[in-house]
Amino acid sequence: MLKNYLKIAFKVLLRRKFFTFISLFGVSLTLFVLMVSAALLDHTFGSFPPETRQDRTLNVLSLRMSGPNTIHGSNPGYMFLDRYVRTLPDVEKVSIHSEPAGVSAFKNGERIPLFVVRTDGEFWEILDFKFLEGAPFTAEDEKNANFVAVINESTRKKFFGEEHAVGKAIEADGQRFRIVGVVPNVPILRQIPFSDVWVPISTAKSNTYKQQLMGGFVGTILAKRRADLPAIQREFQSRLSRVELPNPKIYDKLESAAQTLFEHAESQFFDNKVAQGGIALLGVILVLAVLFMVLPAINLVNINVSRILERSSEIGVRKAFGASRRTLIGQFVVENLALSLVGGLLGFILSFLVLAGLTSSGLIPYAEFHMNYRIFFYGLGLASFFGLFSGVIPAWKMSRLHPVAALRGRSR
Amino acid sequence: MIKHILRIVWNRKRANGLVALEIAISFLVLFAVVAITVYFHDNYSRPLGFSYEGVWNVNILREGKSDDTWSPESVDATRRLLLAVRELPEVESAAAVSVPPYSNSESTYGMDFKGGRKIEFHAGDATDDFKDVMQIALVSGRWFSREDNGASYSPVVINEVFARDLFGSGDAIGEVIREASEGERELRVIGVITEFRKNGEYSAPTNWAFFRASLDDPKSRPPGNLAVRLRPGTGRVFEEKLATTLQGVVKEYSFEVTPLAEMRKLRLRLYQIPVIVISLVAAFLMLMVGLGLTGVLWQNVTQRTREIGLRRAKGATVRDIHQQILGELFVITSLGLAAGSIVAIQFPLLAIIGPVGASVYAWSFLISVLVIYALTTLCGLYPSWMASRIQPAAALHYE
Repeated sequence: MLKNYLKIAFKVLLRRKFFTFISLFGVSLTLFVLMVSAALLDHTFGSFPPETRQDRTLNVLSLRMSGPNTIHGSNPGYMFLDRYVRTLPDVEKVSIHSEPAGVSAFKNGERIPLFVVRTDGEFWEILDFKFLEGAPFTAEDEKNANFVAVINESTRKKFFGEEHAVGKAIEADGQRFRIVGVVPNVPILRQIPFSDVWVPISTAKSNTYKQQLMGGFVGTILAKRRADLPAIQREFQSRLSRVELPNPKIYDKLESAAQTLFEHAESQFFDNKVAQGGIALLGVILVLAVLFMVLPAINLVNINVSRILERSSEIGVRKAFGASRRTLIGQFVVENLALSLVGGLLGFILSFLVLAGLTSSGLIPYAEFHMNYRIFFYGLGLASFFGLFSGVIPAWKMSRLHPVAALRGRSR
Repeated sequence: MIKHILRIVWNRKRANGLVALEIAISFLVLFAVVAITVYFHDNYSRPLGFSYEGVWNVNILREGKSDDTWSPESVDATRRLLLAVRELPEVESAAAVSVPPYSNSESTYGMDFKGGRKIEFHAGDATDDFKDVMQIALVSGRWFSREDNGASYSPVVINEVFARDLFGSGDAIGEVIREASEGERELRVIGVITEFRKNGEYSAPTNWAFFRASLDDPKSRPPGNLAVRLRPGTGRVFEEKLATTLQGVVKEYSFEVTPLAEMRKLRLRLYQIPVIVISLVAAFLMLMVGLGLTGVLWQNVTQRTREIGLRRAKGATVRDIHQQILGELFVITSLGLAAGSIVAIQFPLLAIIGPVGASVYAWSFLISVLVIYALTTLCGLYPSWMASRIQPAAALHYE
């Protein structure tokens, strides 16, 4: 029976190639755009190694001083993080690391641009890097200002080809480091773990960073449990009021927040005016997704509604030969589902190819895009829903007609 | 004629309603995209206020810069750096500035103006040479100079937009923006420049002010960047020489040398990429709507073979049939557009769009309406041609 339905469906789809094309085009391209957006979002916020503990991680990414006349914002400085974040009670670990800084390294006289992050031993314990060789540097190395470095795979390739790198030396920004470990590449959109080279903070050229309230660093807090996050955020806020400001004549207030990455994106999006724990941003994304899908949905409904009239005589013939309403509905359900699924399949292949192309193109350094199957099935579900809703309901109405009326094509 | 078409459209209200709804939503999507594009285009055609070609930026990374603190030593170091740069034969002129063009740094001020009005503006500190290095055009008054040494006021140079915002059409020179208070001198306007759009060509014109940075005064805040205008023909190789010279003057600092042209490219891309992405998505949506509409109209014509055949038999010409099909489409499109416009008009009414000017809004509106009419007419051409080919005889013995 099902085989029969599928056969009919196939024939019907072939009969009106233009309509089939429009439906498939709409379903597959809509799914494609949805998949690429979802992959980009996932890529930026999802829980991928090395950020496997993101659900209980908070970051301090920005600091704003404001006064009666002026506002001054940047990322936090080392002194602020060391004094007010590292000492937070009841957290598992706190790491301080610099923003990636672009520096030049040289190999046989050729300039190789590299990103360098200066960080501490805890960084390697909060993030779950899988070491390809060697091991991370430790808090001890940080304390003693040892000139050691962890590099990523692509840097190893640039400097040493296929050979092992641990134990060898690398020169970056005029300083010489001994390599102790090699980690896989991290995409640039992963704000916290991205870099090419990691070295201890204490190897910095000058010590002035130790006195700075603002600039250059990020704090990452790992809580013991997810449930502790609100308490940590409250404690952080209460500490802000105790901070001594370096220039109290110009600035008298300090604002900051310990946030998850998504919450941080939310405050950036709304220019620090909204803090709803990520819900507002999620709402914006959902509204955009719905708005984007409204047009394809109406288009699909339009096509289906106008097409079904054409088939009233077919319904009449089938009714005249004794087909029950149930059989008729079954046929239309199978037909519409088949169409949605074929569209879904095309969209899937298209997304897969484009995402693989984006990954290998190197347009975004070290990016790896994955299909988000959950979003894909949601999208496919919606496409099938609208397909059924618009294809089956008119057919069902028509199947109630007297065969003679249906045969004459007088559906209304 | 119109009345008749309206009746025909009304008779098929459910199917036509869906089409009109689709057109209304397409119009809104298109309108949003067109408005953004027109807005950026409008900004692009406005004066930039400075010339970036041949100018390099040197970012001085010194202690305390991020905390906005400074010492007399750092003021002196900045002065020596500027002197050393000017000595180089490749350099035409050089100045110090706190927020260089196309950079990410931003400094926003808000203060109470006369009559308790809140004013907001962006500002930067610049030395006396900055006007010549960046080739900024003065409208009236003068730029900072030695005259301002030891003055009883803090001199300010503002752009025309800001001058108009503060003083209307009156003369801004000599006016006071903020009265003197607790140790702070009054802010007095000494010059008006045409424009200084720090964020580049696509950014909206905003209130802008320059404060004077004096490197002879150890208490004045030293700007963190140098703007260096090079003699024509100086290539990128000069970068190394410049960096070495600077490093030789102050060993403890680091320096980032970037041509403004490169900073400009990055900054413009920041505006372009989102526009390109949404335009692609909108183009895809329009293509889909166009195809869908063609399909619906085609189906519509096939269904109405008998009606059209009858009209032909009664003497309607090919032209009449075209007129009917396209006329119906025109009516449906207009209904959709009317519905879309009602929604679109809410945005300026509710002041959601903020700074977008009325002319940008009107132009985008006009363009979107025309594009939608063009698109629907294009979609209607083939089905209408099909309808006109219907033979009365064939149509009438349909049953």
